[in-house]
Amino acid sequence: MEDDAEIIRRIQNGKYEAYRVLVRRYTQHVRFFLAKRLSDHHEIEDLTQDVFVAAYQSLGNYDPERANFASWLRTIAHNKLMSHLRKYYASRKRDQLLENEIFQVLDSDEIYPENLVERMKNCLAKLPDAARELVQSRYFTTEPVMLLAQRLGSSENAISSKLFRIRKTLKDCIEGRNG
Amino acid sequence: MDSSHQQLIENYLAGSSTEAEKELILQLINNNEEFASELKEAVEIKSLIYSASNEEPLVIEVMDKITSANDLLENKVMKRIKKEKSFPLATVLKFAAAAAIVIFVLNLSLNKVKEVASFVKSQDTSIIRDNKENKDYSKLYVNDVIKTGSSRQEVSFDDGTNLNIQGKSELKVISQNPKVFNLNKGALTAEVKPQEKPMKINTPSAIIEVLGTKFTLSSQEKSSLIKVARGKVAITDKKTGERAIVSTGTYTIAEGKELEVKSGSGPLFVSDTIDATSDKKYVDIEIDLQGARKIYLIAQNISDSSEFSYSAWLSPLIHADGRWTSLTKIDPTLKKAGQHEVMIYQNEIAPDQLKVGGKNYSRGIYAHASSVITWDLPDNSTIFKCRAAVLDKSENKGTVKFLVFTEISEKQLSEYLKN
Repeated sequence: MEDDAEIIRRIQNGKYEAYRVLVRRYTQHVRFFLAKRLSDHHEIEDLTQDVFVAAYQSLGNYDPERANFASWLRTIAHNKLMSHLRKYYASRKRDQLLENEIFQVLDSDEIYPENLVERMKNCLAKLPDAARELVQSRYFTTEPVMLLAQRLGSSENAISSKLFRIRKTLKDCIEGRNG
Repeated sequence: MDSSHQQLIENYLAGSSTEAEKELILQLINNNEEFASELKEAVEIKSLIYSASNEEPLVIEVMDKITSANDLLENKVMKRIKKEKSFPLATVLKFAAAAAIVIFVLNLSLNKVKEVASFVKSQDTSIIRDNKENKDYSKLYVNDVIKTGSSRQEVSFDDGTNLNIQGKSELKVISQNPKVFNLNKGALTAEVKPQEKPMKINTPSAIIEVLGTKFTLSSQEKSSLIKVARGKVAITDKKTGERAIVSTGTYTIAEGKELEVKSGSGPLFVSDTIDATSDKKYVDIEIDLQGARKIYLIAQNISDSSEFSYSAWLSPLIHADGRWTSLTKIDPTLKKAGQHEVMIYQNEIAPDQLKVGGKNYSRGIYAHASSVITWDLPDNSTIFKCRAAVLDKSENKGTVKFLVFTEISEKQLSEYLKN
């Protein structure tokens, strides 16, 4: 596998097509980072693209000897996220402050947990169809709980409890506690 | 974990926590270890589910954006400028900026004669250019109006954006970059590749803006229906000025009232409100069935009173396997009306039974609003055509809306039947 620094050198020499290798290699890293903080499918996907475009445009400043590409990309993702949230909360400063405080507690510097994502794929496949449909509607296509409740003829509380139980099952599964 | 905490976490994951809820979350994080670790775990699991459900690398999208920002400009214009074999990125960007200026100037001078798109024209499509209608043109320029006959017309642009304009529609090209159109009447389905500036479509009742997505827009005189299959679209209701975002799997109708974005596949057609006292008491419907297996015709009584309305679906036709069949010849799987029976007329009908604007119709389905009639469609059905009307015998009573679905949830169906 060609290393990141080599690819970046080629791009800096005008072979911009080589950038697709980096996009393919790191899309999931950026997506995972943004999915922790954002809750709308389109926001996550749009911002993931914006991060890569911004990174490309700053590639002239990137120095492989100072940081590896993944953590440099994460810094860009973090900055993009912050400016996105500033716009989103433009008229609600207090709300944004609270949001940031909560996120600081939740955030960690961990790198993209590729093995956990792999395990999650297997665990999702093992869920009963209805449970899988429910968690993916909520956390992947980001259908609001209210709409899910309406669609499934259930209460919001009942949907929240169901989601809580399915998350527990998935947590146990990725940690190998229920096979 | 009690259910109020579960709800609190769920709201946080959904990004819908109120300020008060966020204050509470912060308190709990600091004082309640169990809650803190539950929340952390929930956020982690949520992002793992997201990432595990979506592995598509965004290579095409990102490279498209980069290409349109830099390289396209470079490739198009650099051909005219001597250049070295390769450039450091900074130099490329300088050239790109110069190229942008050159292209801008070229655009200004060439705009009037620039071809917007070329297409394989359907036989009965015509182009209106300089107030003259012509059926021979095969290229499209700014200010042209595409007018479709009974068949559809596909128009493809250089960037891969594709418009599929339905029969009996009119679309005017206002500008090329950004792409701006007026859909004067009719409907279209669009597959829009990522755009630098939002593509816009004006209808008499709404403006929609799109950056890259697949959607269907259908315009009546007073209302517009937008359904988004993929991506998202912004719609502004011209009457109220309200703007809403319609995203994957949702739809909304701009009709001068509050914009309500609903999830689900939604109707394929919604008429303006038709009042028995208005001059025009019917609406012509022609829709692309897009491989549907079923069709639901709904006449909705929307008057305040409990009065029903005499409505009918006249000359309903289905195009399947290359030929037209009257829906009146196929047995419906469900027919239900609020008042009286649903009557399906073939040829023998009492005089004046199906009469609209003084004209008698020989084939049609007579169903009071509110009513729902459902058919299983023949294989390979492509088009549904019909005139939906409030009958003359209504004598100024009744206000109706006609809707066509090819998919509908039980809940929605029972709501229409309830009225």
